[in-house]
Amino acid sequence: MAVVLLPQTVTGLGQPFLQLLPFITAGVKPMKLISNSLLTFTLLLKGGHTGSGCVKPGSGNIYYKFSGFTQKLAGAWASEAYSLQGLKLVVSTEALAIIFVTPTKLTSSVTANDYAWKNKVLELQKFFQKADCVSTHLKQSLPDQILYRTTMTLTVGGTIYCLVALYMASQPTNK
Amino acid sequence: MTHQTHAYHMVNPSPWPLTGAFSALLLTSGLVMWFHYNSFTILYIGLLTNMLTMYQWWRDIVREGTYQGHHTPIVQKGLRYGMILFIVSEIFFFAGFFWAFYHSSLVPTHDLGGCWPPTGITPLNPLEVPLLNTSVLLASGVSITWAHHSLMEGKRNSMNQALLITIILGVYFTALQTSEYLETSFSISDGIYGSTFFMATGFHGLHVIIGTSFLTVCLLRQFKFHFTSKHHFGFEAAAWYWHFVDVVWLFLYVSIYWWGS
Repeated sequence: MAVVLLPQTVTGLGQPFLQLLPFITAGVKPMKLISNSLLTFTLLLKGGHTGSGCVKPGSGNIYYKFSGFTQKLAGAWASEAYSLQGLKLVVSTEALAIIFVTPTKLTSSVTANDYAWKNKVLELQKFFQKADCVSTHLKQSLPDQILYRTTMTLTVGGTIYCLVALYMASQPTNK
Repeated sequence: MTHQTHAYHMVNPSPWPLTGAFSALLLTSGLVMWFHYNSFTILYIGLLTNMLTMYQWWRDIVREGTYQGHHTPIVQKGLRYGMILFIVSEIFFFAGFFWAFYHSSLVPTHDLGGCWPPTGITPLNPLEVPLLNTSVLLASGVSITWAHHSLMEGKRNSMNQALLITIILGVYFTALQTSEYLETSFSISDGIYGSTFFMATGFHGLHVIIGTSFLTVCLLRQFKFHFTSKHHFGFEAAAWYWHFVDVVWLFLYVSIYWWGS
């Protein structure tokens, strides 16, 4: 079990204040790492206060890491922010491609088994990681809103209807 | 996202637990209205809100894990514990039905004729379709393992094929079992034999359908390149669930179909 870990730096996309998240790639200065470690992440902490905002300018970097097994916070050099403990450093971009598709298939023509699906994960990762203070369940604006409102209307309306029906059903009959 | 000095996942506030809870109220009350007042409205609303909740809740989990990267190793560990505990709860659920079966079949009462199967019941031949069902599920266990290994080795085509085969076998099992249900000479209301048979095999069939649906979602995610060779917990959870369904069938076959005939 392993994930690709990627430290983030401040970018024009307005990256989150505190990046701890391992994820497959960021659209930002991608470093291609394949992890075999379960235990260690490197934290990039920006100076300043969080408040409640989602986009923060940074001033000065402090680097931390979680130490091995005990996961205690320990100081780390900037170089360690880009070189995670226990990880194998794979620098070629082809390595990332391997995660998603077998390399030999990339250059071949679309086969019957390909089903013409395209790999949109990178774009979707950029899209869903936009720091626009929108909750995950509403991130896609219009389709999400429509589905949410429909669900909530049916739920609340259905519950009221149900409670009325149960009240009526609990009234004694005239037999 | 704000300061976070840990690797855990602080989930955005979500409305789905609330809608899920209310959909459970609508489902249960809907059943009452159906049984006692022949009215389907509340039941339909309950089914609809339940489906909508499940779709959106799990969609959000995919967004959080695959697109936002929140499923760190320690978060994944929690998800693994969660799935394991859920499957354990399902094991206990089936244990109840097996208890009921053995309670009645080990010491059959005199009004059953003092024998098992009870007098007048013609059980299904365990060496016909039930044996085929057993081989179908065992084969699906092999194909899902093949799919997992292909995924871990980065062989995309093999993985797609193996997962598709697993799903087809699951659908085949469901179709065979449906035809068997139509063939039985006894029904659920034919005494304790009918009750234990259809409750146990019926809930198992429902779990096969659930497992097949889970695998189908995995296949769609696999087509969309969500799984990597190192990180594919959704698929592993589906595989665990599928193996659980297979094992329950083996117990059902040995206890009810074979020993119970």
